[in-house]
Amino acid sequence: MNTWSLALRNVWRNTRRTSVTMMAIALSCAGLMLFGGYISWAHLASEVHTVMISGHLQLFKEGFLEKGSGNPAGYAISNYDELRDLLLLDPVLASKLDLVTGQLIVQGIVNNSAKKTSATFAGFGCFASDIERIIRWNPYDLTEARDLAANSHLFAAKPELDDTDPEGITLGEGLARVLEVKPDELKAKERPSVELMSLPPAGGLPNMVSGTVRQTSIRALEQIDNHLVVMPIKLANELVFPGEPLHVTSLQILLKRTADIPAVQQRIAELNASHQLGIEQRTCTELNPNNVRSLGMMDMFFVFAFCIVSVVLVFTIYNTMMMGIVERTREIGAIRAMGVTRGGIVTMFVQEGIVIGLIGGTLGVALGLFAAWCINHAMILYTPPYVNVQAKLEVFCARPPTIIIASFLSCFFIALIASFFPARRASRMGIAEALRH
Amino acid sequence: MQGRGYKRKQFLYSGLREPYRLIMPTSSSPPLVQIFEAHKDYALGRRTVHALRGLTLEIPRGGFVVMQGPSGSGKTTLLNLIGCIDHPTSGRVLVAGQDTSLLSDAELSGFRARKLGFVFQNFNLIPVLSASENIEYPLRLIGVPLAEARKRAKAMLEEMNLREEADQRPSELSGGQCQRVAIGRALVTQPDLVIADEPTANLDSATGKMIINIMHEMRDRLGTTFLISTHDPEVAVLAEQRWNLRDGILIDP
Ligand SMILES: Nc1ncnc2c1ncn2[C@@H]1O[C@H](COP(=O)(O)OP(=O)(O)OP(=O)(O)O)[C@@H](O)[C@H]1O
Ligand SMILES: [Mg+2]
Repeated sequence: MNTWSLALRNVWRNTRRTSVTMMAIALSCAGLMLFGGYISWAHLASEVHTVMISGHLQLFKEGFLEKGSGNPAGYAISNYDELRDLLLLDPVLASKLDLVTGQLIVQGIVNNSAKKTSATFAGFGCFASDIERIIRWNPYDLTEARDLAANSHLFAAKPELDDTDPEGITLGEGLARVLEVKPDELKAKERPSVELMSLPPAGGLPNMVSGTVRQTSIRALEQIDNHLVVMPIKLANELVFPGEPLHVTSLQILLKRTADIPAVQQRIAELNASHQLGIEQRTCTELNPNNVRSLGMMDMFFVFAFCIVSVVLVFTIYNTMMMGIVERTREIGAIRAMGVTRGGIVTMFVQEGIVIGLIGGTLGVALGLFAAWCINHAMILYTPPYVNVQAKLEVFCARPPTIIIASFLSCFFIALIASFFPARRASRMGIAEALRH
Repeated sequence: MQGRGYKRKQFLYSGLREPYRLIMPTSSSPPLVQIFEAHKDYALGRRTVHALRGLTLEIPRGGFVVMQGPSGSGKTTLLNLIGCIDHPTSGRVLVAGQDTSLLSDAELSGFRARKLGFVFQNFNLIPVLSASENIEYPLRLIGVPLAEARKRAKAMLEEMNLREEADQRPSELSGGQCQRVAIGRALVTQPDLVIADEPTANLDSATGKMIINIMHEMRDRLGTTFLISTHDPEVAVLAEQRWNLRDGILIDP
């Protein structure tokens, strides 16, 4: 007979009450695990989403971010190949880089002469295969939006660009509407052709190139959807720098690990200084501040939920312990008379709290893992902020495993604290009064 | 069982009403319990209840004292003082030569664990422990190793004629069996004094008598001092020293 097995037996004296209390602990623990697991998923999904939009890091010519929006090509980097090689061959960076690619942002007027329609456009020139790799970056094995049946209509059957299709471009759906490019025209053998016009950055007469519309694709922000032209970077270069080597408005860098961002940033800053590159760099989170902010908000929700759960749980356990103590007043008096010290009484009831916490917490972990499994297999879809695709609700309770450990320990310590105060009260009862009870 | 106990019984039955005075001179050791001018007041709302009004008394080592008195006369209050679970409002209580007011709560706990045993009216066994574990419990409190405690509990169960019931929980035992477990529990640490507050009140009279006989016998065998309170005049028959309590004072029986 040791004190722990006594505690275990005492805990089960009132089976119903103990079960309810343990269930409360288990549900709290599972709830924290699920909420924590969802937030963990949200952090990973947000990371993947921001990287998908902008790579891990982007390098711009100094001044581009401040003043480049009116004349992006004016702030183009003219030595793209040189810069790219510098990064890829750098001994410090080589092992950390996954991909370095360029983007050329152009703007001007797009004209559909067949329909006599025109509109201003924002052109996004890029390397088809590189951009495909960036938008497919998924190191955490998240369920990709494009793989969900519910999103199939949002993703074109073929990629927006193709390296073997130097004139093929993709229009935002809003822009296609303005230009009266009809969906059935896209299916025809002869693709509709549009003319893109832009003023050269150095001034002079506008240049013009023509592109053929591969397809249209929808973008979440109307602003973008109404003006977007995705085009091969060489076509964009021809539009603003005809006959010149490839220019880019930014270099996009994809890393093997997001955690390497600071190290890579530091090395690039060193290279920038030593080679007088005249560039500035931005991380994906700096370029997409809203994603970070909404994560911060979710973290706050979690803190609130945690506080509510803790308080409710403290009162539940306190109440259970207090009821047990009142029922056992005479027994407490008797064992005190037999020589159990005040500390002994505190220990006894705290041990009962620990037993309740351990069993409840363990049940909670099992319950949480099971519920997470169910949720992850249930295909629950919803639309997260800043995207127009549906996402699958996923909870990552075990990624990282600290979520499980922290939920378990929280419930355990709550049980410990919540049983300490009743235990202390029990220990302070007068023995004679307790026996008279 | 025969021998001393038997003779005493004869002696009591012979009609001598005050064994107290007869025993005292023969006992050379100092008394186990000494109480001087003990008062105990309780505040009951605005009223003060004088539960004990200046008691002075002694209990010799090896005594078998029975205290009688109507309800509310202060029996439990007095036992609580002697049992070191309450302090007098004024006056002094010495148990085994120790002034109980000089000990801290923790020291008193240790003192009770080693020197005293308790038997209660409603047994107060720990319901989740078996009979033998209930008897082990006070041994574990004074640090007796588990194996040793088991052995001693087993021996005590046999002493109480409860070998068959060793693994049963109190809820599976009869009242008399429970009280025997409780007596075993009180005696297993070999205390100087066992205090029993109305140990027979929840038992039928035959069982009650058996319980008192067991206590008496254990006194004879182990030399443990017993202090018992009761309403039941039949119980008092075995007493060697009989106190009558009325309104917080001892009166002549
Ligand atoms: N904690 C207390 N608070 C107030 N009054 C008390 C308290 N304990 C005892 N009393 C009072 O002190 C007096 C003596 O009580 P006590 O319990 O010692 O009597 P008793 O002889 O044991 O009675 P019974 O035979 O009913 O057990 C009673 O009047 C009782 O009401
Ligand atoms: Mg009483």
